[in-house]
Amino acid sequence: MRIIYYSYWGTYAAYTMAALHAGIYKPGGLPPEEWIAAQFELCRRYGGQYGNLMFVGLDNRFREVYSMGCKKHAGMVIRALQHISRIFQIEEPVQFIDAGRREGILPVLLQRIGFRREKTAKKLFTIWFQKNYRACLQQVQRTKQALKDGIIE
Amino acid sequence: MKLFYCCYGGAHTSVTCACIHLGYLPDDRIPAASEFLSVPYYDKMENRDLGTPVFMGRDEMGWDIYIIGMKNVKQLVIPSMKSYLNACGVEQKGFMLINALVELHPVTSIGGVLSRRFGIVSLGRPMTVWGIRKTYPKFLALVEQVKENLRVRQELS
Repeated sequence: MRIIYYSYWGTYAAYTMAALHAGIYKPGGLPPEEWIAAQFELCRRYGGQYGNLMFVGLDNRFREVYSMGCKKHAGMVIRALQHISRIFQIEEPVQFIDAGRREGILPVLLQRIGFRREKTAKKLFTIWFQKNYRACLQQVQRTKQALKDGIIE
Repeated sequence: MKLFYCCYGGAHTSVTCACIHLGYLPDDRIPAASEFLSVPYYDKMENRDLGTPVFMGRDEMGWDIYIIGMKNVKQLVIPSMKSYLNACGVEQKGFMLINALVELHPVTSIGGVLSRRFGIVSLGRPMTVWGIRKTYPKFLALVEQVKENLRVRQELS
């Protein structure tokens, strides 16, 4: 199975949740500062890329976990990918998880205003990350449970 | 081998191109309005189905021809399709996307909006047909170019 976390931007909440799901970020507490800085760099470089699947890792059941940014067109992208799966007879199921509700306004500010003032941008990103980490973790745990219970198939 | 004609709404230009490609519409003359209306899926794609590829038929070279509407976010949907196929390990040699948005007569665009967005089919549909008939040679040229490309590919492989 492939699990794709998606939101407007693919490098903020979607990536955070995918990293939590894949076990890169641990549930115990916030990841080390340099890892947060690495995600900030990911946002700076690739935040404006939409549509590309980013492979994040494998979860404990060896399911491939991806993140993807799809602006406000998630419905259309999901339909396209589901049908492409059928057309090309890709039998491995794919699951789309909406991470958009955890994103908030800060990523919009960072992406729109840009990363010109790097220090401020980094600080803002860290604030966003710390504020949303727990909520992302909870959603990932719910998703994992739903996958386990067969609610999401 | 799959070929997708992409356009904004998946209702007019991509359908026209696919139909010319498959021989449902003539390539030696401009078809009558009634011929357009008998074409499958012409002016039929609903907004809620955008992103859904629709199978139109198989051409003489063995390519499966599809149409797909992507609004104005081709630059988002196309990378998602390609990166997904890449992630699934699907060979992309047999996968082709063609931009069917040729330079349209404004009447086609207005008709398309009236018919698909506002549901005024009785007014919008004839307008789209009128506009497409005006620019039909451009569609013929595009499809001819695509077919030529496919022939060359076939010869090379």
